Amino acid sequence: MRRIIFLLYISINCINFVNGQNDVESRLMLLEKEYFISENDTVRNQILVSKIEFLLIDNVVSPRVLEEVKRVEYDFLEEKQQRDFLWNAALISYLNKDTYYALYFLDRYEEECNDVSTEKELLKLLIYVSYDTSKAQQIIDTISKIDKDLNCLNCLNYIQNVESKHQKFAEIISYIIPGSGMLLQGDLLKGSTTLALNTTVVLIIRWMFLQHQYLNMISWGTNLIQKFYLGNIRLTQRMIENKNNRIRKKAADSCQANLENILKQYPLEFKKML
Amino acid sequence: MLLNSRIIYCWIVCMFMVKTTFTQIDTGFIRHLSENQLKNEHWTYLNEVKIRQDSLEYFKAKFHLQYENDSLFLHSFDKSFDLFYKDTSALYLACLHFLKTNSKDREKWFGRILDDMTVNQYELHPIVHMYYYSLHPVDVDISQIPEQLQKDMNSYKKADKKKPILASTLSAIIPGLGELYIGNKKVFGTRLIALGLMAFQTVESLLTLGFKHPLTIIDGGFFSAFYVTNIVGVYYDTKAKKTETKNQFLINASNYFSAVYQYQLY
Repeated sequence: MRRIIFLLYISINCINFVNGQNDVESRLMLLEKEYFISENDTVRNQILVSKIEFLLIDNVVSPRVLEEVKRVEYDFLEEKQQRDFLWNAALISYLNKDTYYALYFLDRYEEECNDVSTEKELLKLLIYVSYDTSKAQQIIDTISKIDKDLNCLNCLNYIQNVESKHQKFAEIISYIIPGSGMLLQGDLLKGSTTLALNTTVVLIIRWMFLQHQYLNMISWGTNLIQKFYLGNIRLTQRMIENKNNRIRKKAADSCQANLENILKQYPLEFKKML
Repeated sequence: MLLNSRIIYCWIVCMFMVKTTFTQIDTGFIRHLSENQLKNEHWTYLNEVKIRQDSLEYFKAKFHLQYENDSLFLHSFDKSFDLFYKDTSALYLACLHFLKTNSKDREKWFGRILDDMTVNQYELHPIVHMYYYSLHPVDVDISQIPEQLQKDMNSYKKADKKKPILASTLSAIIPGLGELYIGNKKVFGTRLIALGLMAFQTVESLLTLGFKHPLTIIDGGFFSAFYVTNIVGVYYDTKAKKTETKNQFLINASNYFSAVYQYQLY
């Protein structure tokens, strides 16, 4: 009889092991099933928090986690858990570039707890920098008073507003002398080619006028002016934009290094919710 | 020996009991996963549940239908068509989906549905009728089509009657006339003016500068190139218009029937 019981026990365990829900997806699915079965809101929200925690442990911060975050009714969580959830939710939203949700969760977090830490201000700054630069500047001024090293974060605001020199002048002058805007931006080849092409067009039109080729003058003039003169304006604008992007990228690279150093000092970490 | 046989018996019973616990699929849970768009959990559940192969493929087909993976849907549908035909809601949702899918999968799906329904002498659902009408627009009695779709059907019927060769011939006679024939009034105007101007400027340079002058050659070359493009272009425009009006009719039909029937997948 003992042998029978022993064998039964072994075989049940073997089957359970074979059908065991060991991998991450299976566990998440089982948690979802518990959520589905449960009728208690507190339990249901605890399960959702468990799912989020589980994904975060597995280093998943994809939109999938954000979707889980949006399902949580945080009023059903305990006070401390609610605070930790709101912090994580703001951080997850920020990492998923969902500024509005990040601001919403951070606002709720600030309402729920009186957190005056630099980490919180840093997260707030990172969220605001792509949304409201004047607010971001206020935050930089505030945190710079706490730690002077944080002053280097001014570069975050700088990269949002940086523009190439004389860009307005280059745009206006390209209307008057085609190609000069590009020359001013430093592109000699494109600038001189555009200038030469437009001069040629003017000369051709003049020649046609002198030869009494009026229809040809209208037809070729309309087409070529549209192609080369208006094209020169569009190209100058695109060139200015590309140059601005290059300057911003260069500034962003050096700013990234500053930010990484700051984040080593004040790491933005997920909080344990369970 | 007796003990051994008891052991084996108990082991078999135990295996059977454990096995039976995995033979149920929780449709309520699947509905919950589907409504919350929990794609990963949904797929994991379908892969872990132990049910009959055709049932599993039926649920997988519905999964692929929800997440619009047409080729996998058709693959799963092939393995579970008996079950799928019984679920008319899912079947017609698939029809609605394929009506607005502009790919070969649409032809594959409706070809299969029309064959099966004809063989089994089922009455064709209005949604399937719409696809059938799109294949033979000339024979369609417009009164059989819902009022909201009649305008689209008329446009499609009109476009379907147009012959690409005739359109090209008309454009060869008067540049842009082929476009007018297929209903592109604005294109007719611009083509006629552009090619007319090109013709006149060629004549102008020919008369004043002579045949061998570079400007005459350039003008003539451009005119010839645009004239030929105008003829060839209208041939393809006629075909494209046919496909475009057909797709528009089917998309609007899909939207119309989605609003009328409001089928649920689960």
